[in-house]
Amino acid sequence: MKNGTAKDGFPEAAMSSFFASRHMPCAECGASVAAEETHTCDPERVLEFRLFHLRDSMSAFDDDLRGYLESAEGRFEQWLAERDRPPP
Amino acid sequence: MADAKQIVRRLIEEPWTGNMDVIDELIGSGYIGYDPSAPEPISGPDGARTQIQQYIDGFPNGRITVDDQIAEGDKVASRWTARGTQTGEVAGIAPTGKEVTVSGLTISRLEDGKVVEEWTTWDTLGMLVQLGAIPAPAQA
Repeated sequence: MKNGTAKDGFPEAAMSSFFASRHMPCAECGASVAAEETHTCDPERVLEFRLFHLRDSMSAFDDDLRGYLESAEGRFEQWLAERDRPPP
Repeated sequence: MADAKQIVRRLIEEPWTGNMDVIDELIGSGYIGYDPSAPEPISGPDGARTQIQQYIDGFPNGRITVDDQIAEGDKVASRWTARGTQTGEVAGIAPTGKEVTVSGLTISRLEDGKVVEEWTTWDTLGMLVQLGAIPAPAQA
């Protein structure tokens, strides 16, 4: 929505201000940052935040890999790898 | 009234540091709590425990700090700040990993050294905005 007056008569700028929060989580690391605060991400926190969002993929990794290895493509890849394995 | 302030401070802060026993210790059996974010008044120590536990489940590392208190008669007014990272579900919102900071006000009425009635208002909307459940101004 652009600045102006909403259909119900409330100025939209006022609505935006109403829904603003003094604290917002940093998009990179998730830390709560006050509006007046100068924030620098802690690299460890950035890593933790990214890993948190990957937690479902990480926990599903074993099942996904097993499914792939049992698929036609996965079985062919295994066969190919076995064929091309250098002799001991 | 220093004792009353201390009782209320402990009740607000200590459940978040793992001491849920403080609820039975400091809440009277006839307790009623009013919170606009709860559809019905919160009844008794069990009701208070359930109400607090749902937020602790959502923000296991959360902490509440009482910033200021005023006491008069049998009532204590407390201004507090809560901060925590959402790693559990809250109000149907899946874990986001985001840290939120919200403030609130609680007026507590005491009888015989226990809290028997409470009126709380807190920044529920701010929590929802910070968790992304309601669009922030830049996204609106």
